Amino acid sequence: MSREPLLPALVFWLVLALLPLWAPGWLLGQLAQHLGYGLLAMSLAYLWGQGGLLSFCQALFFGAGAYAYALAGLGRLPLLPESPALGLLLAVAVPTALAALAGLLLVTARVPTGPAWAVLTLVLGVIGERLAVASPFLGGSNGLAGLPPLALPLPGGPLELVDPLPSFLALLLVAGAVQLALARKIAAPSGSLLRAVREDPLRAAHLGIDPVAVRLRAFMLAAAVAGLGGGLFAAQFGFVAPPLLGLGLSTEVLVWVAVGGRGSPLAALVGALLVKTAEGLLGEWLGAGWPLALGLLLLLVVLLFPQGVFGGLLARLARP
Amino acid sequence: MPVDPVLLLLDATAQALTLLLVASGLAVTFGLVGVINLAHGELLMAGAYTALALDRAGLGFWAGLALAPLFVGLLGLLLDLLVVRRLRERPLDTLLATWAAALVIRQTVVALFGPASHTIQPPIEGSVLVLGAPYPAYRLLVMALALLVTGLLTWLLFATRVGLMIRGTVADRTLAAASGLAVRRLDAAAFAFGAALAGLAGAATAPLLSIDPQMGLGYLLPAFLAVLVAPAGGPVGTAVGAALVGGGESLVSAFASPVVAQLAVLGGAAVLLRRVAGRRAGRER
Amino acid sequence: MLEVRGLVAGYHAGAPVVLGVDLELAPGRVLALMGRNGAGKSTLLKAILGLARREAGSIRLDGRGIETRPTEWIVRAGIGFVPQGRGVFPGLTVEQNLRLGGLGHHRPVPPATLYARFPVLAERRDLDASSLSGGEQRQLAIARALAGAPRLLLLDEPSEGIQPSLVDALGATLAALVAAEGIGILLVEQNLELAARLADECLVLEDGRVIDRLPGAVLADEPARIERHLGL
Repeated sequence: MSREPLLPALVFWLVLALLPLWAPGWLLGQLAQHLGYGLLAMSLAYLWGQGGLLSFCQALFFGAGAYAYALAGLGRLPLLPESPALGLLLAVAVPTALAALAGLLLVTARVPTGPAWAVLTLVLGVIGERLAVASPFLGGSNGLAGLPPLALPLPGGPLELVDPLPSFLALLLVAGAVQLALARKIAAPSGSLLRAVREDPLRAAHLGIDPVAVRLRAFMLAAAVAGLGGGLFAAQFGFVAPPLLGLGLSTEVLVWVAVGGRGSPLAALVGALLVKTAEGLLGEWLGAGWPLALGLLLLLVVLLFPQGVFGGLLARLARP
Repeated sequence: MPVDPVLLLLDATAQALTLLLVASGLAVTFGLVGVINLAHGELLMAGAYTALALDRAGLGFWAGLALAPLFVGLLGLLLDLLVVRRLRERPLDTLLATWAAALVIRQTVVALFGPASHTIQPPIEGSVLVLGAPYPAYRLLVMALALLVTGLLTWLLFATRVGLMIRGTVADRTLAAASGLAVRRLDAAAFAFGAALAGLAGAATAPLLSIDPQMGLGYLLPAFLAVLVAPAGGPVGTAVGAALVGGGESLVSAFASPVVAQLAVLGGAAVLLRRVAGRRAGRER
Repeated sequence: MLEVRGLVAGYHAGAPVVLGVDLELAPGRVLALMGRNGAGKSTLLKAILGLARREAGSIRLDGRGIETRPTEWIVRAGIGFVPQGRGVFPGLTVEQNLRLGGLGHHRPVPPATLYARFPVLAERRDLDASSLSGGEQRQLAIARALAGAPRLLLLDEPSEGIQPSLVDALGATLAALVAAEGIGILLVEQNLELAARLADECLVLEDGRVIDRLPGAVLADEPARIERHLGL
């Protein structure tokens, strides 16, 4: 899809914004967390659907954002003050820098969508997870707990994002802004460039486009969005641990995006919200059967609905 | 602790050859059929669990070693029919679907055997003196099996009619079909054969490892790296790749912690892989 | 006997390149397909073989419909194919190429028989097919297709990219195949001379449709009639 339809997005955000009128607090709190995951889903949809770069380690950047927030929030970073606000900044900056580094390895491999790319993302995911587990600085397999919440500097004194309603509204604003920004990015000339490189990197190169640079930028942008999601998630959750950057979560986000629709960040976000909500409803009942159900769901969606459940719908709406 | 150089070399050889056995099935499905099967680690795991189940059922280890390739080969055939061949024109989706299949197989194993890890006793105990150093007899057997499988693959590929058909299909799929070869059936057969090799490798290495539902990835990545860094296609190339990755990891782990060794080898292979990938892309151009 | 009626075919759903073509090809006959680049000639051959999407129309071989059959079935039923370009398996020797050509068939023609018709291949039998010259590769491609003992042969621009002196020899080889073995040939060809030498009939394609049918003699006697269509 080359264009995100605006109307469904506005309707979607309006409906979410009206939720606090009737939804109970616990649901808002849960949705706030799921919107954090939604940012992760949108980042993958951009990278995979628009850039054709299927990543098996996207949670690595989400987790890196979460850890960056945790380290700064707890004042564990040398020379830097203990500050949640700085943490949120680092939650974007650190994954972006990591992506630039990893990108040198991944994107510059000249067959980036081939087997090498896929295996390399898996390798990155494994390395990240093992490093987090082995590192005392990152709290090892226990992770880091007791993170301070984010606080908004309001005239009447700072408002800490602890209660469900302010957390939900903050996440809503951020996720909404990111979704609209990604939609603009997709419709912009740079979005066409990314798709041109996806369709035929060689031809793009002949047209004077540098496929490596285009892909590296997409990879870094996706990492920044995922990291922002991770930072916000950690701020609400108050706790980070290696599963936040592991292959398990990386696989889950693949399911969300595949179910929602890889071509559109909005569809991917809806996929994340739906699957996470379903997990909340069915997960306990299915127990260990839930991951099995996820695997089957992913298999069926890939085989039967390659555009995702909402992606096809949105594509139809986007058509003039 | 002083390191016995003979033992060091033996360990490195053992690890390289074990990895060769593990990677040989992958070399068939990836190298020949061109399918990136991310469920390959889980097929190996299925082989290990087949050995475990038959061992527990009192049929003994050898029955498991014999039946695992059959069972896992059938599993591979099923995977090809239901998933892989439907996505032939969508390689990115093949990755995703086989990754989903991996999850399904893994969780099925959890449902059947529980999440805990298991071990089985090697069928032959004791050790053999190699160059003056005692070495576990069963490990030597696995090493021999790896060489046997590589020899068998080489023979199959280069000295039989089926091998010629497969090489033709790899060289030019459309032309193979236009020469009257049933390329889809060849794909299915090769894919199932690769799965059967995975089953064999899983069962053969089962007594050397702890068997648990998460073991698939531990197989998959080194095996994939070995196949990908292989300087040439075919069984011999796979052997070189396995020597680089497996032998390298073993040698590094003699001087550093296993985690560091794994990370070093994963990182090193990833860098090497970039070069190989670049070179291959250059050649295809 | 191959009969194509109202064939619509292409590569992407809803975007056909061949728009309703009728043709028939009998053993021992040569039918030339001519037309400009992009007229749909190659797509037509591929559609007959099941290598392009067949969207409508019928393709019958000896009265049996083959529209839904996979490529290898069609080839085994007696339609050999020499694609545009090299048409050989790179990385395999000449002899292996010839064996592969017959492996899918019930009664393959042994390489020795093929060497008798293409002596140069006998000299090169152990060389990598991709190391052969362009003309030799074209001979190998044709010999490989003959290894399946086809009754009909679909040739896509056999003279493209080979020296003029070799085109003559190629023409002689093909003419001998038709005369001696009764093979029918569907020939996509830009080289008017070669087409004129071989064809019993010529179809002119433009934008996926047959716009003219000419007897083969016209190609030789009044080349201007066809050159007009080809934009020469």
